[in-house]
Amino acid sequence: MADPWGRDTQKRKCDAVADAMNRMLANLVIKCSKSEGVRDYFHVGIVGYGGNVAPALAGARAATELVPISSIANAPLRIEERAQKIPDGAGGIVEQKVKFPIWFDPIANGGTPMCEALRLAHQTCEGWVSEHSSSFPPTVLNITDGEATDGDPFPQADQLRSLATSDGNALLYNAHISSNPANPVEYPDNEEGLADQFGRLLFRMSSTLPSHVVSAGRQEGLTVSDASRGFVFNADMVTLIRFLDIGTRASQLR
Amino acid sequence: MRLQLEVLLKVQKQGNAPEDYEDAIACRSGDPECHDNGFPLVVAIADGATESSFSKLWAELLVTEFVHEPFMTPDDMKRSIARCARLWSRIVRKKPLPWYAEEKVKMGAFSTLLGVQFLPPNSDGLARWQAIALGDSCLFQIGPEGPVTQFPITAYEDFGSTPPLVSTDAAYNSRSWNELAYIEGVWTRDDFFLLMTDALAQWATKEHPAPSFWGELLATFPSNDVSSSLRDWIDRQRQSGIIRNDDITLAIVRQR
Repeated sequence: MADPWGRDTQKRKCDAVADAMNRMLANLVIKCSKSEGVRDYFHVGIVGYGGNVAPALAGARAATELVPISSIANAPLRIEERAQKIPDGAGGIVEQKVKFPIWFDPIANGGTPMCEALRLAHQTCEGWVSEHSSSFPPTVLNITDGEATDGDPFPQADQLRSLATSDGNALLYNAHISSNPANPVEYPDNEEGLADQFGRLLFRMSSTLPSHVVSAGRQEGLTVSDASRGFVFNADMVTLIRFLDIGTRASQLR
Repeated sequence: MRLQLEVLLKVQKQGNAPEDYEDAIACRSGDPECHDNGFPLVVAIADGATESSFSKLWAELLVTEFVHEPFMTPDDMKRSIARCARLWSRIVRKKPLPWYAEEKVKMGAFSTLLGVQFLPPNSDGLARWQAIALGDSCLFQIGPEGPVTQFPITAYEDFGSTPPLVSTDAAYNSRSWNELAYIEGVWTRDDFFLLMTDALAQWATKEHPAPSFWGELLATFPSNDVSSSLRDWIDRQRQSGIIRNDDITLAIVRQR
């Protein structure tokens, strides 16, 4: 985790993981933000795994506890300001200051007990599925900087993906933040070209993107096929947050 | 001939509170029930996008602007939308916002818009109407034999969760203008018009309800029971997955 990240050697891998987590949560909160506050379209649980496997959200009583998104919105550790480049609408780019809330600071403490983390995610989702049998199934986003150090995570991933509501199977998406400086890969539909054995394992562990995500992705210019998996290499999964369907949304790249 | 708008239904997405309803409807008098209007009758309906904040306010500003100053050309529409966007921005920035609301406001608000103007009969006796639309809020002209016109979406598969929208953000709108739709037509005293937001319009596009479906519904109007029986019917269709769970607005324009 303290190793430099392949895409930006000024940054440690643990910084890239923390950034990815914070960005993903911020996007989820903003997605649910309405004029009156944050609507609880989602319940969220976060499991941190490094030296040990534990609830990663300050205030969560247990790793298996899911909290409404509004309580996450109102409880970042701090809010930083960062610069973001956005299109100016006239073919150019302008820099805009954005609020960047921090819920997680980077921790580099060795070990990657992914099997245990997936087991805990399964336990959490199993309870939720039995109580919400007609809801959209749980989506699990696994962000890792390296190989599992506690065994083969494939069976745990398989078990997690087998959970289902009447609206389909649980979705497991994986992001690999690597020391390997290879170019980012987003939502591949086969293992060819993935940097290493571990990348290929994570690809096989990942759910096939649901058809509504594939069509939304195509509409917004992503290169995806019906066989694309929810797997990214040296990239984040913020696009997948955008495609979580809560109602009418503006197409960003139309 | 006199025309009258009657709002048959305004219902929020199942599971939401009534104040979460984000559609908007207006007519020239400013009275949403609009009972005693003659010509020209101007009506607008809008569906604020779930994923933007302050979108109900945006939808309301759009329909109010349209009915007070109907725009039927892209240039007129651009000027009116820019005026509405400045007003929206002034209103939402009046008080300090939490970080997420501030970021969301930067993204702007989004809404569909369907505006219809019913003109007085010409010297040739023909009664004309014209409409402009961006998005999937729909107008149905129904004659004694069935639908005469459906606008702007006519195919079931063209309803989706990312319709073209009108935004407070000028850069976004510059990509939407080429999807602006315009139509004009004539009507007779036996026709009536339905305006509806997308969930119900999608259902009507698929099911092609017979004129008698609407006729039976309207025969009982105005009665206090219509809205509640319609609501019950909507609830049943939603539960069985026949109608998508979304805010629904249904209004009729007919001769009285």
